[in-house]
Amino acid sequence: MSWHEHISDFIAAMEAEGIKATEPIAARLSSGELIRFHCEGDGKSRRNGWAILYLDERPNGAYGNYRLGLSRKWNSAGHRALTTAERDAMQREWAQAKEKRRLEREVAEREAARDAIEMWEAAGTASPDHGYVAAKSLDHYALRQLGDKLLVPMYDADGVLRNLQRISPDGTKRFLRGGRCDGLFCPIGNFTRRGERACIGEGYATMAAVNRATDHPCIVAFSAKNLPAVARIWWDARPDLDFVIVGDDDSHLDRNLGRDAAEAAAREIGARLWIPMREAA
Amino acid sequence: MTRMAYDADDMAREQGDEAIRRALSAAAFVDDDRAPFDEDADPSVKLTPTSFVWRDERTIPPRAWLYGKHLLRKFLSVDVAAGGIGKSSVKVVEALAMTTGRRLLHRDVPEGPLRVWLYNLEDPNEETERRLHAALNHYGLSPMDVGDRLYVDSGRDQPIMIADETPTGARIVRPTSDALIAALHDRQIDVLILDPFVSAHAVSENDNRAIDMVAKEFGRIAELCNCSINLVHHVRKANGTEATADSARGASSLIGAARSVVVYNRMTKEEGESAGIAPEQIGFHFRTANDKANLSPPEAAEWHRMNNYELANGDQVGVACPWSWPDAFAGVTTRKLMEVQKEVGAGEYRLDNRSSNWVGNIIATVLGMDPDDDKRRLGNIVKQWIKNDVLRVVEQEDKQRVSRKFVVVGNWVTE
Repeated sequence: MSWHEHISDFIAAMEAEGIKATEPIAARLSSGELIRFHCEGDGKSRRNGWAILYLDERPNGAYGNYRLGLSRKWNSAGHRALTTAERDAMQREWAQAKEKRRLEREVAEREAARDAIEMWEAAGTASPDHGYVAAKSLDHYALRQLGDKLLVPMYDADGVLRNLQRISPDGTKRFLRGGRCDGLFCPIGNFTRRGERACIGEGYATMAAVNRATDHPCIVAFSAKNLPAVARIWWDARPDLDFVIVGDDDSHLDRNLGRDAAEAAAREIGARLWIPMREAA
Repeated sequence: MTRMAYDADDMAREQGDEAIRRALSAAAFVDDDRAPFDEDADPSVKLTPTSFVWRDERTIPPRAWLYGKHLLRKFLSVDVAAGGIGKSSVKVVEALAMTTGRRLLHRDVPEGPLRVWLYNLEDPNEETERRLHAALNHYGLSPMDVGDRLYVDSGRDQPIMIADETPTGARIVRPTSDALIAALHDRQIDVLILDPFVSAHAVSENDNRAIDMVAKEFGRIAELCNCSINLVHHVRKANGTEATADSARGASSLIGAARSVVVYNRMTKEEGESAGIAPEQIGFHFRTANDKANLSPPEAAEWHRMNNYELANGDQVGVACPWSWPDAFAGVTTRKLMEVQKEVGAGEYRLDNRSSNWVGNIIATVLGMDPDDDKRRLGNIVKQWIKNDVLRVVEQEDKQRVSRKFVVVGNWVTE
């Protein structure tokens, strides 16, 4: 069985579980890296499908769909050892695909960063009547608005604007397509005193609420996954600050992703941890 | 109702900004599991600095040392050793020394015969019994010398578990602690030896807070029962390096809580060679040293040797015995030194022991020693005589006009 057939088998197994990609994924699967893709039934611009496939001597992989809450492992039943020529060809193809994707990602990130700067400069101060600003009682002067989209700037460790989070009046949030997210953050408030307390958390509205209540300067990491990276950047830059990692309580999920990420970040930089608690009934 | 994610914004909306301020000000570090301070102010709790009053120092009670400068009444002490080195045998001999009031190893028993409870939590009672019989016979003691002052138990028959872990953290097992206090009071025990410490609790050995709690509990028991508690502990893997108090396995709080820590180390190959011990005999020797003498002056290493004793039942049992480092100058008289000086004064002798004219060779001839077998001992003698200035080192050219270190006579010795 050739490795092309293994990929076909893998995709067939996914489809049998109801995970049907609406875009070509075979070439990306051969990279051996985790891929995300849009599936039948996913909302527009959502990429809930994920898969990873290792095409070694015993091809195996895993796939799933976040919307369906599905996660499956797969291995080839009729595997055989690859010939040396096949393995070399496969590795060459992987290496080329990987390099191509890296270049594509860099181009996409550069373009997104350019778009972010243009959009940020073209945007005006956010309206206090914007649905999200009003709903979350945000300080509209700190944000900008372009059309009906609220813009939240995303900076890198050098303070360069790299991406934007666009928030619709109904609260739907989108980053610029292809833009970088890892290690980007948005500061809220003034970092003026050495040793002062500073809070790092996931969402803009969450951290704006903390800043409003406490006057502590805050840092928005935009996602649970990005919390540790942002915490590291700030710890490196301002080790004098008394950091508190503010986690989201995702106890409604099978795994409390918000708490786990916050705890990991707090442990990593030796920060305090706070998870908001519901009022006892 | 479907349960949703909950964040600070939700909390501000539901509970107000004050709730966020309060909660954030109490944010703790991740592993900080101390209960939050939630008690009301109690004006009856007061702390008052006490003004120091000088008094006649003769009225200050002296420290109640029970065994050398290691076991002290009302305090905790720790013996730290690698496995198989002979610490349980030392503990057996020490128990006999304390119950008989005799100096069997290197330490005195200042208060005279003591009541000792030897509690081996690892071995069956028969094994301790074998060691006791072997030591008793080896030291020429009789049960009459020991009297009724020795108590021996095994953890296999009567385990001691002073602390354990619960889902909310480590805790002292109060019934065990109370039973231990009652037993120590009842038998008026002066010294309790627990061997090994790890079998006396069930908390994580690496948890500083838990081990500190256990050590403090033993300290409290020692204080309450006016006795000394001696814990025998293992070292972590030393990878060939010398063990110190810091080598004790697990949390350092145990060593911090102990007033005296004795560390055991095997004799190294170099030490064996220096002492002139046959290679196959080196493994029987080990030394102990007080590595945390924060209440007593530092002590020099005390050497021990494990000697074999055959019991009447045919069992071979090791007995820890005191052993002294051989004196390099044993048998060296002033007359011999004068003879060495005369020989050195008449010839040319080098300091370098690789030289065929090494000064050690002529010393060996005078003292009737073997220049090869006794090289280290001869080296020590040369070093000491140079230090005492009866021999002196000078730098001069040899026959090839190369600058070398030669040994000449220093101050001539007279009878």
